Amino acid sequence: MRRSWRKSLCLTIVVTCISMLLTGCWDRREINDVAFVLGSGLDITEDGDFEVSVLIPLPGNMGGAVGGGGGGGGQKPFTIKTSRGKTIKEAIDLLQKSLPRWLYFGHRRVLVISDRLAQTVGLSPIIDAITRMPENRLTAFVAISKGSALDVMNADVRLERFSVESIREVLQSDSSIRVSLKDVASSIVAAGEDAMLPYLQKKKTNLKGHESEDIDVIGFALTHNGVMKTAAKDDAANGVRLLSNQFRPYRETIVDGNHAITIAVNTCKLKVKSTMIDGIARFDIRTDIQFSINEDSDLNRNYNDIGQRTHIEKLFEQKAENDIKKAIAIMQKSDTDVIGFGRYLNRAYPGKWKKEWKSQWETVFPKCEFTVKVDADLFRIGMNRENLAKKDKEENG
Amino acid sequence: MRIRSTAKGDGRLDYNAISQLEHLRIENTVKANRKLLEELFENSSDIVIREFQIEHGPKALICFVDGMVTSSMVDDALQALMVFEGGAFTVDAICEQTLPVGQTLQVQFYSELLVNVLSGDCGLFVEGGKTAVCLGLRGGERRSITEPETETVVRGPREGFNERLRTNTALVRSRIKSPRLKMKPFVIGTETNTNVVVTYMAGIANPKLVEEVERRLNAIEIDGILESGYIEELIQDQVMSPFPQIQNTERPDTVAAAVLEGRVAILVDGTPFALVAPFGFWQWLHASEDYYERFIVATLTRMLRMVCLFLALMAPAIYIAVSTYHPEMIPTNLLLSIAASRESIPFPAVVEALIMELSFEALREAGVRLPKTVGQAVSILGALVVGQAAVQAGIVSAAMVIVVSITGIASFTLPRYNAAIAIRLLRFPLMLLASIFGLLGIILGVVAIVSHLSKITSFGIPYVAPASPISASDWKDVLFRAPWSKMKRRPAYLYPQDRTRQK
Repeated sequence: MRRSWRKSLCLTIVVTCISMLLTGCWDRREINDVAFVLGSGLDITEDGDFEVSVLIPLPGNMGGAVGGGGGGGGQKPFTIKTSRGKTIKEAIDLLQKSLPRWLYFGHRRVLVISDRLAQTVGLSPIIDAITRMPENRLTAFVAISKGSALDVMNADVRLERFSVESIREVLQSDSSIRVSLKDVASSIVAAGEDAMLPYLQKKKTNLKGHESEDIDVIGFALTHNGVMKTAAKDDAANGVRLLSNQFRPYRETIVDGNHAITIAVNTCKLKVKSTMIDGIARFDIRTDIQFSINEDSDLNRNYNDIGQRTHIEKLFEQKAENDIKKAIAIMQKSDTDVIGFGRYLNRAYPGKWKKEWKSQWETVFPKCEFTVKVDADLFRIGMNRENLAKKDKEENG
Repeated sequence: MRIRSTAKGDGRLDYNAISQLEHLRIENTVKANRKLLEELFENSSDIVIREFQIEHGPKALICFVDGMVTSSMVDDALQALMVFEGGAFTVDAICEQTLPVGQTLQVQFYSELLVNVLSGDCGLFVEGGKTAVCLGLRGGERRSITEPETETVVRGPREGFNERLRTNTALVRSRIKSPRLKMKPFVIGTETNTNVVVTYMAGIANPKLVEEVERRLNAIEIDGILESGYIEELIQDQVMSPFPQIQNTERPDTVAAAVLEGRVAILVDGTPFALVAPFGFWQWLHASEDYYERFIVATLTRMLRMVCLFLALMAPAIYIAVSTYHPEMIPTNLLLSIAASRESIPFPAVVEALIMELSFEALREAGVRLPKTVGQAVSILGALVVGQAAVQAGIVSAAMVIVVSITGIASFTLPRYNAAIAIRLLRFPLMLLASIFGLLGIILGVVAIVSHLSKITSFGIPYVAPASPISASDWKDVLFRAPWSKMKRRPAYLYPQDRTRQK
């Protein structure tokens, strides 16, 4: 008994000593000594340096337990710091030198990159700077900003405490597509696929007494080899949405003569069939879309009439087909295969893909041929079949 | 043989001679017996020794402890003796015919006589008899049967043990009306001569277990047993362990259930706490009410207790580790709230936690020791001073108060108080480990605790059985409580003689 005691005591001491040697054990940092970076923006200066800006919440201004009460009138609960450097890490290190608290990137949930940086240097150096440090979240959302990233981050949002929180919510919502750092990295690496990122812009409200700014997703930034080539907006953006393998519902207004109909696109089933004819890759794109009516300005429309319903379906099919074609045209023109058509081809012809197309997909993709067929189904018309305010002419006349 | 030492001649008692009473026979004459008793009970005002003449018969002497007998019954017995008429006047005749007394016991040696008399029997000597008679007239003032305070239930019997062994055995017997329920008597403690009863079901309990319990009880050589805790510590398997290896309970229904499962219970005179062995980790989570409530409710409550067990053990440690080493594990918004509440706190998280935990433990201890009327004042002080004022003064953060409260509440959910104390105790080393090594330290601590748990035994039964060694058929009554219709067999890990509970 005595002996086993001594033995277990020895064992405990040895285990304790060994664990003292383990790395990562001595990074004890009280919450009070840490500046949590919630989001950061990356810009490029005239000299080609990186400009890193970080958004840090100020817990003291957030209305904690002390004294109770709200978050202090007028004082913002966060601050933004910027710094420049030849590399991103250098910029952060320079910033760190002047800060009393340790910058902590484990809670960075949004990374905004200015379009100029994305167009010139590209995303690859950023991915490197981020993936080297285990602290960084790979699930952080990435977006491209129109103009300065710092400017977008500094938006004077009112609905959320922090602008990055607002950006994150928008990026998470249906108005965007969810693209994380991990997704960007894997699409850049993959052959036959390019990265696509949400394209953000600051939007102002100039109402007197309610001046504020919001974040708007204006489209998608299309990249090739990590460098932003162009952006798909409006119709083309809708086309990209329909082609994307992570479809998010969206709203659209189509025009029927003098009238406008607002519809909601609810589901979209995409089928891409790749074939090869005379050495040219062809893609047959078929989509099955379900949409519903949200508003119709045509008072005489009766949705009981199958003919009128088919008419709307046809209208929308035409519109969706055009959107998709526009998107493909932009992609082919800028040589940005953000949908990953190369992968479809890889699956259909693995041998040929490996031998020929994989290495020269850049030159093959713009020459590919596409056929698009949309099958739309109006499956929900709302609570009424006809406009309720319509005068019943037969009875009154 | 005389008690008074002739060698010394100074009139003092030779107490060593008392240990030789085992060989001291009852004297023939009342006079000699009286002299011996008076010598033994010199300076003992509570001992009544009375000599009297039986009508038409010999002289007799009775001896009892005042306050421990029922005086009215002593009067009846004396009356019956004094009007005795005719017939041979022997001790046997008195026992068989004359006395209106339920229990009589003839003894030949003083040791036996004294144990019984000092336990409340009435000793009777008759002139010319070679034996004395112990009349079972035990009585006196005792606490009545009340609801057990440490193990209250919403549904279930409200009777609890009291300090009187006979009451306690009767409470168990009234629940198990079977001749298989055995109550083996023991007398432990060289001075206190405490009556102890080992109770078990013959034919259900493993005979080896019963034998082992008896062996360990017989090996005890201590001057006094004032509470069952003495016995618990003297017979447990491992002394150097924070975990209780023998269950204690105030509830007769818990003892009855344990005995029916094949366990052995030890009832000790002078305390309402009975011991039940073997005891294991999973019994920490079991309350007697689990078996009276519907099984779904009981199962959920057990799961809740399991969660609470983890919380009570680790909540402050995890808070310390995560907030100082792994802030990435906290959801961002929650982290910001914690950061806001911690902004003006002058202490590191571990110091804060230690302050709060220590003051909480102190409050709890104060609440237990103080009279009930003052206890309320303590709880008000605790709630206002430690809770609200400390947060408002910016000494501890609100988040820490929440963590400590959750820990406190969680530790109260464990039905076994002695296990809850062990958990309370182990919380502190885990907090220190967490502050030095982070989550790694907690894992280290938990590994140490779990390996210790799986090493210790209770009367040879592994502490974490039936989880390890695996005995899958017993899992019906571990974390779950199967409906009674499905629990047809007794737990196998106890190796009962007869496993069939229902056909």
